[in-house]
Parts: sequence; structure tokens; C-alpha cells
Amino acid sequence: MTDTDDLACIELVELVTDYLEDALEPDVRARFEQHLPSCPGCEEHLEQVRRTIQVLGALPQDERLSPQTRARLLDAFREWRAHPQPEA
Amino acid sequence: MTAVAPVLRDERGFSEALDRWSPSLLGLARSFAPDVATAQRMVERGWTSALRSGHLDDPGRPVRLAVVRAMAVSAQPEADLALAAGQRALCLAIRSSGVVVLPGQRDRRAATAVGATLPVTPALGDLDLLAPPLRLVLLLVDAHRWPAQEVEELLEVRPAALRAILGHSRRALLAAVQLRGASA
Repeated sequence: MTDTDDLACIELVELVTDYLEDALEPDVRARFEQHLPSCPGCEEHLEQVRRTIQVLGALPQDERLSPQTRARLLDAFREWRAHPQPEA
Repeated sequence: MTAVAPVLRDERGFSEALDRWSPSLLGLARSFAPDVATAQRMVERGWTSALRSGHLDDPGRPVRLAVVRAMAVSAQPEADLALAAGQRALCLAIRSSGVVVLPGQRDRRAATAVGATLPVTPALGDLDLLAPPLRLVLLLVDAHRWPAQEVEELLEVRPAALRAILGHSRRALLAAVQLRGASA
């Protein structure tokens, strides 16, 4: 961690998401990448954010509507098809 | 002839939409509902409200966006208190996400935490450590991979603001996990 670089650590921390989204201007991106090798704290922070995104992206999405809920929704759809006026 | 949204074209289209979008809708509802059964009712109410209010009619409008909005709105005083609580929690999270942090606003507490960084890897359950608006953003973007444009529309924020909120939410999660690790 250093505060003497062109890009301060506090700035880098706030730019990490833009960096990972490829939303930084080229010159800022260059400064960002120039800062990393000399600053283990910021490198670690970047890696932690990457791991965080990976972990959250692994959220299991295996929940399903219960059969009863699904059946009620299909009934609602049939009813709506028979009388398709939007509610006021 | 008016174009009909695929989700409404026939029962098969609606059934396919239910199967495609309900898992992520349930995952979102679970984070704001007091229990699993209430999450099912939130999603059911969201689908029926979106259907009956005409919010699924527009072929250009993302289906899940319409349903999530409907999930967060109670059309009438709700006798089901658990359902009302879940709807209100989601509604507040959506409304307040956009004002959590402004672009350019410095987040010094999270930033200075980097100086004493501990190796941490958050687990999915750690999302519960976050305030609801921050949890919502991470669920939508990182967990459920909503396209940024849909999240911006839901939260009514611009792209730069969403990135700022997202960065703040990720830092807050890391800080919360570090704090938990340090106090363990």
C-alpha cells in the first residue's frame, strides 16, 4: 500500500469495478495497471473483488415454483386470456 | 395488427417464461421474504399483477423487470402480513439503491480497509451482512447476472451510478466479511 504513486490507493479501490467492467478511459486504465505491481494491498483487493464476483456468480438457481403455485399461475393466465382487459 | 409479447402469445409461451425466470425471481424474493413460502407467494403475486396490469404486454420490455416491479408493489392493503413485509422490503431496497452512493463520492472507510487487508473469500450467506439496497444490487448483477441496462432501469440510475453503487456494495461486502473474520 502506498500513497505516493500517480494513482493513489484510495482512487484505485474506487475504480476497481470500472476496471473489471472495462469502463475506464485508456489513460486511467494504464495508470491503474501501472499501480498494481508496486502495491500488494491493491493487488490483493482486486483479487478479492474478482473472487467475490465468482462466488456470487455461483449462486445456485435451482429453486422452482411449487406445483401448486405454477398451476395457479397457469389458471390465472387462462383466465386473463379469456378476459384480457388490464386492471385499472 | 398489434404485436403480442411472446410471453403472452399462448399458454406454452407463458409456461416457458415461468420456468425460465422464476428461479432467479425466487432467489431474489428469498432474500427479502421472511420465509420460503412467502417468497413463493411474492413471485406468484408478481406474475399475476404483471399479467393483469398489462405490464407484460410490451414485447420490448424485459419480462423479469416487469415481474420484479410488480413483486414490490402491493395493489391493496395486504391481509397477508408476511407477504406485505416481503413486498415492502423489496420495494424499499429498490427505491433506496439509487441513493446509496453518488458517483465520485469517496468511500473512505472501505478504501482505508484495504491497507489492513485480510485474505477473505465471501460466501453466499455473507450477503445477509449487507444492508438490503446493497444486497439487492449484488444479487441482481453478480449473482443473477442481470444485464446492466435492466438493473439501471429497475433502480432508475445511470450506468456510472450503477457502477458506483456496485463498487460500494462489493467493498461493503468485503469489509463486512473482514470485520467478521477479525472479530471471530
